[in-house]
Amino acid sequence: MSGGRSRALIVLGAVLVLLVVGAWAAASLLAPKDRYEVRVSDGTRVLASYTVGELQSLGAVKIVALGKTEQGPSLIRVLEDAGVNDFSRVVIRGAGVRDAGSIVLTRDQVDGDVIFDIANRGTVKIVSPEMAWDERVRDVTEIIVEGAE
Amino acid sequence: MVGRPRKPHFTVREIVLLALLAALIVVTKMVLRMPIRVPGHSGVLWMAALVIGRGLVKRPWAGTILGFVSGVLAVLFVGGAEGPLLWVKYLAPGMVLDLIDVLVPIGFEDRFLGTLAGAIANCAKLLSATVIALLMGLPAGFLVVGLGASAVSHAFFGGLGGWLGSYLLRRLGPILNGPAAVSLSTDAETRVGA
Repeated sequence: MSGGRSRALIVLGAVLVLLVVGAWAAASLLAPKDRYEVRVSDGTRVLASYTVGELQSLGAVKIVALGKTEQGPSLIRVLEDAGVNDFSRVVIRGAGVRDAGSIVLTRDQVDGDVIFDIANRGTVKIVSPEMAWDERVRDVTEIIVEGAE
Repeated sequence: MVGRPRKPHFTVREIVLLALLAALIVVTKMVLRMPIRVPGHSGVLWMAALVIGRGLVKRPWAGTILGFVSGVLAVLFVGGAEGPLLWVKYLAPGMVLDLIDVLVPIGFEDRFLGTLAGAIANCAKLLSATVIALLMGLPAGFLVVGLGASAVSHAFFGGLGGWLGSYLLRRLGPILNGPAAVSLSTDAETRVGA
C-alpha cells in the first residue's frame, strides 16, 4: 500500500465521516424547531396530534398500490384514536410542495385500505390501492374531519 | 500514482457503454424494488453500476455524463416526488465519482477506493435530494427528521455498492476492455495488490 494512496483514502474516509456527522448535526439542530406532526381537527378545534412514532404505534396495514408495497396505520384507525367514530367526509392536507396538497375523501371512499404510509423521509403520505399517483398527498400535516360524530 | 493515457474524444464503444449502464441504473430503479424499508438501499445496485461505468470509461466527465443520462431517463420513465428536478439526484453521484477520480487517480478497481467512493456518492445523492426538497420549499424541519440515520444507511449501502462495483470491475474490466486494456488492468491490480 503506497503512502500517497493511503493518505488519499484516509482523506476520503474523513470526508465520508464529515458528511454523516454533518447530517446528524443538521438533524439535531433543526428538528426540534420544526417538529413534524399530523393534526386531526374538526375544522375548529384540534382533536389530536400525532408524531410519526405515535402513528406507527397505531399499527400497520400493508397494501399494494401502483405495484409497490406501502404500510402504515389506516385512516380509520387514526380517526378512531382521535375520537371520531363517524364522519361525512375528510380533507387530508399536506405541505403541498410536491403534489396538489390536499384530497377530499367521502365516507364511502374510506375503507381499511386507505392508509398513511410512513415514508423513508420521516413524513407520511396518504395512499390506497384505488388512489392515482397524482391524487396522493405527501408530507401530510392535517386531517380535517367534516360531520364528525 | 500513475498518470493515465487520455484520448481526446469518447469512442462509440464508450458512449454505448455509458448509455447501457445509464439504462441499467434506471431499469434497476424501476424493476428491482427490494422490499427493504431502509433509506438508501437502492444505492447498492445504483452505485455498483456507476462505479463500473466510471471505471470502464476512464475519461474526465464520464461519471457526470453517466449520471446525467440516467437522470434524464429517470425523469422520462421513473418519475418521482422531485418532478423535473429528479435528474439532479442522478447527476450528483456521477459528478462525485469524477471528482474522486481526479483527486485519487488510482482507478476504481481498487476495492477501498470503490467502497469509499460508493459511500460518498450515495451520500451525495441524499444531499442533492435534500437540497432539491429545500428548493421546492419543503420546511427544513420535515427534511431533517431522520437525516442522520438516513446518512448512515446511505453510506452503508453506497459503500456496499461501491465494493460490488470495484469487484465486478476487476473481473469484467479485462474482458470488456479487450486485450489492449488487459495490460492496464493488470497494472492496476498490481498496484492494489489484488
